Amino acid sequence: MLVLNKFLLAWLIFIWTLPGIKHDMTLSLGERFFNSENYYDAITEYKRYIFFNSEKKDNSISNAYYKTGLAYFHLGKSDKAINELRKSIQTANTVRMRDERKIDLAIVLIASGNYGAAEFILIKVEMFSQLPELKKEAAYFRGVASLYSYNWERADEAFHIYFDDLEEKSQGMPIKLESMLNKAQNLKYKSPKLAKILSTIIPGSGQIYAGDWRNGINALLLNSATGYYFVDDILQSQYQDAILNYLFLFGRFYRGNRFHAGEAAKKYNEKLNQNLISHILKTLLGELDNENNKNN
Amino acid sequence: MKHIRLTSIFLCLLLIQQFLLANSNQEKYYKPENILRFAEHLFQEGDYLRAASEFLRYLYYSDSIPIEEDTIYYKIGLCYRLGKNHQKSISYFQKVIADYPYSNYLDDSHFQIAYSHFLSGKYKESLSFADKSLSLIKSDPGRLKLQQLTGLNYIYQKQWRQAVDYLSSLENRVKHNGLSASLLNFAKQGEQLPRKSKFLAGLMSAIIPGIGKMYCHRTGDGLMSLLTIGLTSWQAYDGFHKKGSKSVKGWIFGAMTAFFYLGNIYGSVVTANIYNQQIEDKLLTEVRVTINVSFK
Amino acid sequence: MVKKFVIASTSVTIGILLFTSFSPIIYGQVKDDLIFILRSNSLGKKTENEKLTISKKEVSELKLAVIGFVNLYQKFISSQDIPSCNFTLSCSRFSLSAIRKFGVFHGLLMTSDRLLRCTNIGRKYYPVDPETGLAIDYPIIANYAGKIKNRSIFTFRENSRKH
Repeated sequence: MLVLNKFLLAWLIFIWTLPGIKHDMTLSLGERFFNSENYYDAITEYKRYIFFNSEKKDNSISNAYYKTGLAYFHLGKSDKAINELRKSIQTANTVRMRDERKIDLAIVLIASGNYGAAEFILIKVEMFSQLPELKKEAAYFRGVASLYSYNWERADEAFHIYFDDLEEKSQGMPIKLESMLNKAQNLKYKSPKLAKILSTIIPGSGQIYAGDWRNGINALLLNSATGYYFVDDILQSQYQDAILNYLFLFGRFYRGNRFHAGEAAKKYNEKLNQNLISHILKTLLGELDNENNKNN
Repeated sequence: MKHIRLTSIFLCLLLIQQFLLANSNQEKYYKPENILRFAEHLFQEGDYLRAASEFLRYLYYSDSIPIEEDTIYYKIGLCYRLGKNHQKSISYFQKVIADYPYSNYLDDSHFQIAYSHFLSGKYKESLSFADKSLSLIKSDPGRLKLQQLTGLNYIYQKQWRQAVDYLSSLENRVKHNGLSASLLNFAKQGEQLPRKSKFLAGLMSAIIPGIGKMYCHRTGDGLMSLLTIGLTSWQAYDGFHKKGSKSVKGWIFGAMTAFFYLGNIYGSVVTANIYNQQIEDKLLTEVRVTINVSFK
Repeated sequence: MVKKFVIASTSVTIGILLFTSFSPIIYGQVKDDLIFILRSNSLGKKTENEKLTISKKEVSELKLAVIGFVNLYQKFISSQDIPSCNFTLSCSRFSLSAIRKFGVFHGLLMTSDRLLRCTNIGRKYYPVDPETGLAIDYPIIANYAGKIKNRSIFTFRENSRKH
């Protein structure tokens, strides 16, 4: 029983050193507001905590800035969110916390569409972090950022780093994910240049090649009609009518047809990329569930 | 028995320690002086609406606050004005006037209400309130600001003559005050702006298409109008000349000529109107820069 | 012996609980962060332009006919043309907006004036939209009948483009 009392004494001393995190009411109020999506009031409480505890040396200030940043992001204020997240990095006390906050900043940057900036931060974490689990996490999100910017090779390389277990070399990237990334690198895109060339030869054919049948047929009919009158004017020696027809009708629609053929091909490619990213991200979520089950 | 007693003592100490920590946190954050400090900090940071909420929270401790209530209400009004919630700011300034007739902020509150109306674009309300307040305020600085605001309201409503008359009629010491002199100068400039006549612009374009726009310094637009109407009328003439009234081309281009001709006259009148608006807006921008420095 | 075993196992359990409550659980966290990214940055997001289609509230047959004609033009003719409009609101959208707001006759006058102004030469007379690099020209600004109530033309934005 003496040992039990000594243990209880040790426990009491331990609890005494945890007041800032466990018992701060303004932080827990902020958490409550945040969890109930009342982001405006959550920001107030976190700012209150920061104002009154700025001299603290633990990571609670960094956490408060982080949560403020997330709350601003949910309110649609990305610039303020990024600002607060940068402060959370600066006020992080430990190397681990600093790296974690950098990854969090990169996640918010990806969520707000700044993929280049996110990749830059994640590469720095991968290169300079001394914690293997954070390096892997950074690699993972670098892969996600590369996916969003349609850079399949970089995404493949990043996910390989994440899924390759350094200790057990037998484990690799899940097969489904690997095959999707291989498929992505060999996607059959439509060439905008070829679409333009086809439309130059036969108006509307470029759009049809890119899968836009309605606009292709429309372009063919319109260019045929205006082209017919253009040629008819020339054959009947009505050159001024032919010039005006070319300048304001046939010429415009012919050039427009070529332009829209290129755009149709680009739109097709964009749609292909987005469908693939959507599949890959859903696969990633599924794979993470499998990993979680294995570890548990 | 001894062990049970020791254990129960430890547990009691633990509970007391938790209770004390909770209370000390509450005091730290929600002590009236600390709420006020936090509110001032938010105000300095520019987070005005949040600062207003904190000042209101401070007022709930009405029994023990050292600072007078009128100061706090004035500050709240200022926060809402700076946070661009003019409706609420006016209500708080009105409270200072109504509830604290001997307040040091009385004159300022009158000015702030008139200024809030001005900032929300309600120049007539601002004018009438300033006029009423001038009969109530005795202090020179307060009267000066209201008189300047009155002149400003006339300028912003583009009532240049009234602005010149009003600002000229002020007493000498007011008239020669820096801002008052600038406002008088702006009002005189506004009266003498080189405006274009809408009727003349329309008439000129009716005689020669495009000339009205050139008169309003839009030479490019005028030339294009002249060219377009010239081209369509030539084609209409050509069509009627070759085939008489049966010419489809003649009727189509004739209709287009009429369409563009009417549009050209309308456009010239609008251009004169827009030209006048633009030169007035340019002057008002200069006024805005001047008052942003003087009125805070 | 039993007592020692109980104490030791309790200490170990509490130690594990303390450790797991402070160490990051990587896989669960990564999944949550990925869901956060997917929700905030959904793929295929399009900026919706103001829909200028025929409304059931339109009672004038002439107005409906003109709007219908412009819609047909947009769908079959304008869609094949080169994107050459110098203004942020294209001429056909300007026309639809003007006819809906100011009626057929006034709207057609504004359309005619707009077509005459839509050139590269006249671009310098207008403020530029920083997002698209095109000149700003909305029906309200071009309207003669209504006064622009003390608003700067340079900062005007139509409702659908408010930030």
